[in-house]
Amino acid sequence: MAPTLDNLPPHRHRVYGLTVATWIPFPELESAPADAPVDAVFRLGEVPAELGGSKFNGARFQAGPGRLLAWIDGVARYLAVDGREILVQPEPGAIEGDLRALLLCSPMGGLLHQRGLLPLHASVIATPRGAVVFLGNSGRGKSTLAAHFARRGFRVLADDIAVIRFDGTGKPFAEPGLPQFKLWPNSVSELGEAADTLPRLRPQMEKRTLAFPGSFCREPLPLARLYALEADNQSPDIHLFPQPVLDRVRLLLDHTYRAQYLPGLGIQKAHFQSLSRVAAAVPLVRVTRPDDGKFRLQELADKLAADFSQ
Amino acid sequence: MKGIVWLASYPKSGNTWFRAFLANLLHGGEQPVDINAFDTNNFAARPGFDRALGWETSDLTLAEVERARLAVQEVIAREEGAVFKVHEAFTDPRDGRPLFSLPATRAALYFLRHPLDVAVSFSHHRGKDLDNTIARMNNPQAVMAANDDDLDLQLPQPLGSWGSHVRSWVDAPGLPVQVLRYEDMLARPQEMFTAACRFAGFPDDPARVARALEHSRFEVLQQQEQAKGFRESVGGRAFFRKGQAGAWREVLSPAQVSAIVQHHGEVMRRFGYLNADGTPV
Repeated sequence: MAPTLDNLPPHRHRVYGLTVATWIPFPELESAPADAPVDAVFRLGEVPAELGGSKFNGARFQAGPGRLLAWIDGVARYLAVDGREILVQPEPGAIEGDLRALLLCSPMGGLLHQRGLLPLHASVIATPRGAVVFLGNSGRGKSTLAAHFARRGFRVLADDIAVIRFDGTGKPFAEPGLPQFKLWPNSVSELGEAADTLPRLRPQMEKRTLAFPGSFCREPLPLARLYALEADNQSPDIHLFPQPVLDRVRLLLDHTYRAQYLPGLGIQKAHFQSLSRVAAAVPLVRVTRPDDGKFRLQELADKLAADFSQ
Repeated sequence: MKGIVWLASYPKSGNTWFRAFLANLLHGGEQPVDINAFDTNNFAARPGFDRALGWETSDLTLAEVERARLAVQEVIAREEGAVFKVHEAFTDPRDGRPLFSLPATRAALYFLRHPLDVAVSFSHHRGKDLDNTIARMNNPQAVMAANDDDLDLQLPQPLGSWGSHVRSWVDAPGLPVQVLRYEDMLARPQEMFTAACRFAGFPDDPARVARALEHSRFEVLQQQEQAKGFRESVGGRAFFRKGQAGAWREVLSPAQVSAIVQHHGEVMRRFGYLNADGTPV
């Protein structure tokens, strides 16, 4: 899967277990040695307006076999190809921060799927028993929770995208992502920090980034446990519900990062097999709490820590 | 059938009642459907929007999200049987931009309720006093779930004032829309719900409609909420509270009534909520 092109872009980074060569430095990513074998390339190039051939069209993406086209008007068009390359065609006036931040979302998700990795919408912390994964839709608190655990002294592998891969024996591992949380100002306050001192994720957004190089776990860890964070106003309390294997598969599919690309990429079956392997090997617990604007971070973290330390 | 059916209303105007009816109509058996298992989502809920978009709205600017809105609807409209609850005005009250794609639309049902009763119910739902709520109903720029500092689980929903909301939907050029007054739904349920079903292309045979109505009666919904809670309630306050028409007479002061009538008299008169002499009906 290594790119065959000779003239690799100059910068080297390490993310999700891959060494990438990039056309500009990505300060949010870990650096990699200049002589490290390159797995994937981010470069500027011409990106078509449409994918040819069979494809699945969304509002801002098209997916076909080995191809994921995704775009945001005013920023750029991206094309992820065969799991080895992301081409970027910026729009006039687009700023570098936006180009990088958006590349690391949907185009990266497409590239990871193309490589047969398993990207989940989750944050991941390192515990003595292995990697603990917090699955959740946007706004359910997975980043805030991971950041809170970092303050309790846990190391963190990833925020937003958690990448699972299997070793030679079929055992699932979580890969380190990037040493940065993405947090809304209220979550930053919840953590006892001042949002206005933190850089914005994108210049025109209030959402912030909080780097955690000191707490970053740089090696893959075997998966110990998965938690799916959900809202439920039927009870005022926090509840933990361990899930049977079949329900684990459904929840993992619900929390697959960019699962909507799978039909177009034509890899639904392989993806389902990966999910089933994770479900068979790793406990998954649904965590419900009321959606009443109160985070109850301490209480939630205490309950989860008690559970994953068992 | 492809194309989206919009269940549209200003908040607290009978939308959830219709969703309960529809869940029972489409999936009902001998027992009422669980109120926590309605399958009509709010279009502003992020997960469904993000799925059709292919990006997460929480990584995008509001302008980028708004630009993609109609394209998202057109992707969703390719699915069979898409039905969404919506509180947005049909056009953005701030700039007149359309918020709904006509090509993506199969039909719209617009639920309309006496604004004086809306004030009472909405005030309770929000946990804000009546004057605050009336000011919101009179605010032509009102937007629900607009918050820069936090990620609301819903996208911002431009609402406008109560009267401009009504006009934006019922007078939308080219929109196939059926108006349903809450008071008529209460007074003549079989007739009104059957008409709504026929208009939107839902099953409308009399026995099925009657059973769905029985299973979505106010008391049934309220009992379920009391027994096991309702996911969509806010701040621990009951969602299914009274379900009646005319409660405003006991609750609103003359000044509060006049604050609403002053702003929305014309629309109130048009839909039978105001007499010729300007007194609320």
